Amino acid sequence: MTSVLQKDVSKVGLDKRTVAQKGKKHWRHNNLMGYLFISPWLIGFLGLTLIPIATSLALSFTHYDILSGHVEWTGLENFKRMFYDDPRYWRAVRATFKFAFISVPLKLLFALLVADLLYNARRFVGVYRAIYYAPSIVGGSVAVAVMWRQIFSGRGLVNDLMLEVGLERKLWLGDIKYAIWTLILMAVWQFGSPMLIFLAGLKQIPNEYYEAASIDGAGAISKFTRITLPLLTPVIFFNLVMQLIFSFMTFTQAYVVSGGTGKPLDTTLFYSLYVYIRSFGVGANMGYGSAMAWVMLVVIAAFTGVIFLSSRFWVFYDTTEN
Amino acid sequence: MTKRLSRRDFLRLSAAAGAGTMLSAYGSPLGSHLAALPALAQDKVDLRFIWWGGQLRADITTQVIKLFQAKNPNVNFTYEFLSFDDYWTLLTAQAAGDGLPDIMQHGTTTLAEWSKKDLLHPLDEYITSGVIDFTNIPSVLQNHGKVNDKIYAVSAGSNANGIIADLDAFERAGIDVPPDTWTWGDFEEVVKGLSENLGIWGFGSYLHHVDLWRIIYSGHNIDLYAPDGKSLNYTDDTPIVDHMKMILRLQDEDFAIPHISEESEVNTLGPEAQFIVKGQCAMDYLAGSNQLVAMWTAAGEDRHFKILPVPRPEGGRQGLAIRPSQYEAVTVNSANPEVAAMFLNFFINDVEANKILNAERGVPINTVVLDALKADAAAPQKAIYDYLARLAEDSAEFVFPDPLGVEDIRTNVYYPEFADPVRYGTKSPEDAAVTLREMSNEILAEANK
Repeated sequence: MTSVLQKDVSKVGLDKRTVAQKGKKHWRHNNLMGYLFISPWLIGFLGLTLIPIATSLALSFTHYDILSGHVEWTGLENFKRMFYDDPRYWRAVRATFKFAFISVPLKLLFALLVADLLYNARRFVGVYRAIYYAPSIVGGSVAVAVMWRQIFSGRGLVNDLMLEVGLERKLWLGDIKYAIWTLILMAVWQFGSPMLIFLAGLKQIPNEYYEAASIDGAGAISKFTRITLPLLTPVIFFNLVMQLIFSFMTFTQAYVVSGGTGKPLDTTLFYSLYVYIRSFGVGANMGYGSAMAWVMLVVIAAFTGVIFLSSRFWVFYDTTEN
Repeated sequence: MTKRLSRRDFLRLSAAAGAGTMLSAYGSPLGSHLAALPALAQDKVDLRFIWWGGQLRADITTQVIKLFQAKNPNVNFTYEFLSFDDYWTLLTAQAAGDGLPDIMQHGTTTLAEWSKKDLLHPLDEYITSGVIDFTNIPSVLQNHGKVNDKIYAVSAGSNANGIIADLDAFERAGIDVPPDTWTWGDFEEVVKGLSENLGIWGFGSYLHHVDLWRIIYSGHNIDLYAPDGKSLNYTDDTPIVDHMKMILRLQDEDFAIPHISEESEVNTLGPEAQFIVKGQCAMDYLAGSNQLVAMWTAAGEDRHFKILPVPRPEGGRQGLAIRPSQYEAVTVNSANPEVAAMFLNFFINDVEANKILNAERGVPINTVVLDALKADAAAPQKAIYDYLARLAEDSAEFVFPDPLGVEDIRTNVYYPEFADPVRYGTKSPEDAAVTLREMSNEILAEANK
């Protein structure tokens, strides 16, 4: 680079050469200042993200007993154990997939429904928006999960209501059929952030389309399916990818509601909870935990990739305006 | 010999420190070295203590810490308490980061593992020098903290598994309280009878508790782990299969015990939520006899309880053993292990401190302390002292230390692969028992290479 610069300036003479050198100095100085300004983020990124991620990749090929600090290279042993010798791992995979594949569509459907209602609402829109968004702000917190456990416990609010209307008491959290549904319900309840994004998306759709459709005699349903839905596909696409990633990584809710065990019978043993149990729990092996985390990364990447690849068949980008 | 020497040491040191209070401690019936601050008397010393347990334990332990500080104003004490599961998560992370507290609490399986991994400070030097006074502690109990010929911890109190029986419920049901020699056959009859006569569960939660696995085999005169620790000591699954079948009969046919889904709701909650405390069952499982204190406190003074030993197999022996309820140990990260050892000494030997602790962590191991406590024991403590005295006449030997990997098996195999699926009915007892045995053998072989 230096030589190129020098060659360039040698052609045009001494004056420009000094200018160029000055410029280079200036450029260097500017860059240095730039790096200095982003250094807090840079240090954080290296120290808290990049280096730990790289370390965990290396650890995933080891047996790392964090109690004794003993690290032993075991090659692909962790992955072999995961896929062939650990029945609990597959129960964790099952619980996570079930949760993700049921809660994400339900949540998006619900978010879209509420967004559409809010879009058409004329009064107090701000208030409603705040109210419906609130669960998403508090949703990931421990306090809400604790409250959830109370509501669905044997003598909790839900059972009181069931008895009130003449139904039988159910053990929501202890029953292997129901436990995961309490978590799915909690996830769906936190529809606030996709709802806001949908709302923004709805506002982007030009009103003329609807007016034109009305003149042509289209009803509310065909307006929704023929105009709203196609024009909203980019937003649906975005929400789908984000929510799927989030749901694969759900931890707090399952940890609190199941008391950190994934009970009953591992039906709420979400993947990240199992990673945590294996990394920090009894018989802690950080190597095995890291290996599981990396498999999760690959799986999430794969799902995201599939959605991206499929997007050209169903996501409609409105380019006519340009 | 040791004692005389250290007493002289004590006099010299305390005179040097010029602390009058220490002399009064010397005059106590224990004649111990309780307040014998080593040469660092004037220096400020930090001590950190973390334990697991409920609110009652937190309150009394805090009081004892305050008492110790009053006698040793140079010690700056910080402490934390957590639930059992959170405790191990936190302490495991602290072990990884070399940030363990000075003093920590241990159970029997973890003590063996942590000692073998060099995370705990051996206490032998302090026992020899008299900082920890073992004079009034029976030698059997002294060795309960011994791993590979070194003592790594002191027992915080003696304990045994047992069954808490609601005497009022037995009376209402018109059923005699069974004798200590009862068998599992008797047990099943009693549970059914109580449930039929009272309309509540005959027995509460954890009839599948992991400790029973060992107790049941011990009743057949088989210790659960092979002497070399590389495998289980049995190939015949019948005893544990029969036990699970009994549980399924009581749960699914007689409805005499709660369904597991009912149980799973309460077993991570505190004493106030337990079935026996709420009068929902007539008997319940005690993972440690010391838990009676918390249970009875939660239930109220007007109730009447007795601890019964776990039933034995037909023609078998009593498989229960008296063991430490928990240990207090000094970690390798302690900057002041000697002061930490002083606190342990205070914890087990000081009468005043133990009157506050009042057997909540098990029956005191110091005989002088125990006598002082027995003199004015309340009902729960009396019931515990009585139970351990009965058990001392007829019980199995405490086998210690456990091989490595035991805690892993107990948490990651026994419940998720065996007990829970059987009770939920997703696996047959026979198949699950084979899985349990095979997976356990694999872990033991791997961990004890």
